[in-house]
Amino acid sequence: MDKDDDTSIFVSPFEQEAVVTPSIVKSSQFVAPGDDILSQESVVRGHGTMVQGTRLTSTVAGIVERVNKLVAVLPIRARYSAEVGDVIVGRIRDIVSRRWKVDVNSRQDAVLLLSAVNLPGGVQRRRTYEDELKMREFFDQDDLISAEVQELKQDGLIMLHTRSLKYGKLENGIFISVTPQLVKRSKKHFHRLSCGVHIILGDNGYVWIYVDDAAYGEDEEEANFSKRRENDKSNLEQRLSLIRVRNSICILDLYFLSIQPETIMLIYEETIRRNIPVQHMLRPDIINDIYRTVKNTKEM
Amino acid sequence: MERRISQRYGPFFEPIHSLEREYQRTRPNNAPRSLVLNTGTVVDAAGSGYVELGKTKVIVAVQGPRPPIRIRGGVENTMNGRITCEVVKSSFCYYSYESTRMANVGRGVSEEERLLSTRLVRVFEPIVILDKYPKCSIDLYVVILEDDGSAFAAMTLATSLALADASIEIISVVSSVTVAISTKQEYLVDPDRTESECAVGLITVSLPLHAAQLCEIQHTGKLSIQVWLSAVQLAVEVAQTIGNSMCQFLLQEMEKNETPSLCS
Amino acid sequence: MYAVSKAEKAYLLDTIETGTRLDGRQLFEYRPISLQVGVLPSASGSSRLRLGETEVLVGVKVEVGDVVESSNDNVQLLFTVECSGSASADFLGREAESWSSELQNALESAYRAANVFDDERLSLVPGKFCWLFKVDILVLDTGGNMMDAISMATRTALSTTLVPRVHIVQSEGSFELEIDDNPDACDTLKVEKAPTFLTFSLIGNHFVLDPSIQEETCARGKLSVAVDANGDICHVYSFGLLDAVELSRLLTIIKKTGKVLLNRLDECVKNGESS
Repeated sequence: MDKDDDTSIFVSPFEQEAVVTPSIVKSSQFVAPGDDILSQESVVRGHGTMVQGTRLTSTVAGIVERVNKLVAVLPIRARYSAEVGDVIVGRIRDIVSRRWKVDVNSRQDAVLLLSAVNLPGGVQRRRTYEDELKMREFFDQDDLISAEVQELKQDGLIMLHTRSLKYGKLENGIFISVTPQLVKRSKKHFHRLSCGVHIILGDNGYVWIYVDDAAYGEDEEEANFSKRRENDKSNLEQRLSLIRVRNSICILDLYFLSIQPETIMLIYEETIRRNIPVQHMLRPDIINDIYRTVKNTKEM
Repeated sequence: MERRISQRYGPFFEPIHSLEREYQRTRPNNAPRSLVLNTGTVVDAAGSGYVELGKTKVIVAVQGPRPPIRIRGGVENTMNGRITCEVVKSSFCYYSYESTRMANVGRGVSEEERLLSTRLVRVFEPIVILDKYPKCSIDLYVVILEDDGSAFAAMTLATSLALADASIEIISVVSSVTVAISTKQEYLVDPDRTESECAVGLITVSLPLHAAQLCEIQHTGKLSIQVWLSAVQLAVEVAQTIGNSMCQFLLQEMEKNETPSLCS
Repeated sequence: MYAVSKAEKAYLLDTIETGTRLDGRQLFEYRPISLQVGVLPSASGSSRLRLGETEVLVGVKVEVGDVVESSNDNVQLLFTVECSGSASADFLGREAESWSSELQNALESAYRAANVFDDERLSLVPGKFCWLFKVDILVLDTGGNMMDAISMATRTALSTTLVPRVHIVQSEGSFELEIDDNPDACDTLKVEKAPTFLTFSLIGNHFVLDPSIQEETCARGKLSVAVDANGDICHVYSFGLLDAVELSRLLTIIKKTGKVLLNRLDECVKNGESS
């Protein structure tokens, strides 16, 4: 108990706190709102740009991105902008007639229609009035779900669907919110890390870290409305790995580093290598050290 | 230059030596004052309770469960009920001109009243079974008619009676008592105002009768841990006896009022 | 309101049963604390403190005031707690008033009980003039456990507060106070007696120290105790049904942890001043 006292309280001056430096710069160009974007003629204007007279200027603070003829400015830190096909993690905010309102860290709440979810038993049928009354049994308020962006309406309304076995209610894990820009859009969102921990990296910056029995996986043939499983008391080892992954993602978020399975495992393994116990992982001095060690690795 | 006068509404901790010397406690240290209980005093309310602890008199009226009057922040707390509370200290409570002036009597809710109402809600939130009353609000209206020490304890007792009278589902009757630690290191149960003001420390404990748990502890003054624990233990014992009297009273009331048709 | 799903709450409860929390801490461990003093040049004393994700800014202003209600205090303490709207939407409007009232009351009660400023040197003209310390507390960011962050920041701000020297001139029964304008003619306050709060949340059947905002949302009870350097209790705030037996066990932990915490805070301030 005495030993605990020594390490249970850590007070440090502010200077030691993490210094945030954006590190997604490769060979891009930073612009501020109003800056000219040097461009050739006949370019297609993308997000974050505006034509003022003859000049093409930026409207946000960010990085210029050029893809063929498309010129856009990606803001450094902004609310999540949905694209069709994105996989997201969302929290049910409200239940209204035949639809759920879902918080996805965007400008508006997304909408998940009753007709866009899989009913238990995998049955395809018309939604009856009874289904409408039972909506709360499928997804209740404050529940976390994984879903895919089906459609974007004209007014920016995001329509979601969970019409696949891998989507649905999330259980047995930890939720964490990071800056959306740090999660790159990629083909895979459901990952199994080499330490045995599963994660879902939502494109909207919401991340779900969980442990999964072998019975449940991405390619499992069960309907995603499982009966309420008993929350097994996973063994302590698994839980600690999960917490270590969670802390690693926190460190990446703090230093504005891209969040991918590789980078997460880099931080994870570095903390194992240095024998840093889980509870000390978020101390300012320790994360400074870790950052300095890993920032020059090529994955970063 | 704007200057705010900090409100002194609690006991004053400089021992009033002259007062203390003249004052004699007429009952044993661990005995509470005479207790008077009554229910049904407010006709309009769903339930009401009246408590006299010595000269301290408190009356509590309960309205509800009913739809909430004010929706907090625009978002309804749907699946659980809510408790709201308004406390008013009548003008008879203030014994000196200074404190009346400072207490904002007649000019809206004073800070002390607001604090008392928040505390009372805190005591009863785990006690009232709120998920039986979704989308409803249970409103408590408290009037402190006279304050001769231990007003909060009297408030808690009266609220328990009122809730029972209104047939609102509660885990248990809540009993409450104050213990003062005097300058001579004595534990005085249920102090009156003089004793409270001369005390080094004051502890009010509220507990549900049939559980080994406390629902609220209020503390003022500086006490060492041992003194604190002994005071709390003493308070718990006395509170249980008071609570038992309350239960007996409620049973007596029911027997008095029962109509033959209700029991066969 | 921080939202937590039933599944998350269940996982949190199970994790706490094993003795760990979701960020890896033990049950009685504080989050990393960062501290900075002297951040507000216009205030007599100031500090900025970060506890996990909670951030608090405290400024102390020193004035001379009239004595109120024949009290014998040398010093009047006035606490004002405000939460910036950017921290949380919870703290706009009426809810904010009752929340800040409670915190102010808790601080006032704890400091009064601890008799922090009974130093003779602080007395001006007993019965007429006394020092008035206005402590303004601004919560910049809410990350759970605001009470502890506020009390720690208040103590460190007061420990670096400079009180100007005052010359009292008595003429024909009336007093005149001349405040020394010289910026070096100041004394620092002695705050060894100042208490700090330790807050526990009751989650399931376990008490956890320094709850994060998630843990506060899942808690069914709360216990905040103000202790001074000797381990004496200056104020208690409680909520929810608490087991009486657990309390005595907690109090020993509180006494020990409180002492370590106060030492660490004082050390950090001292190191900051010497560097």
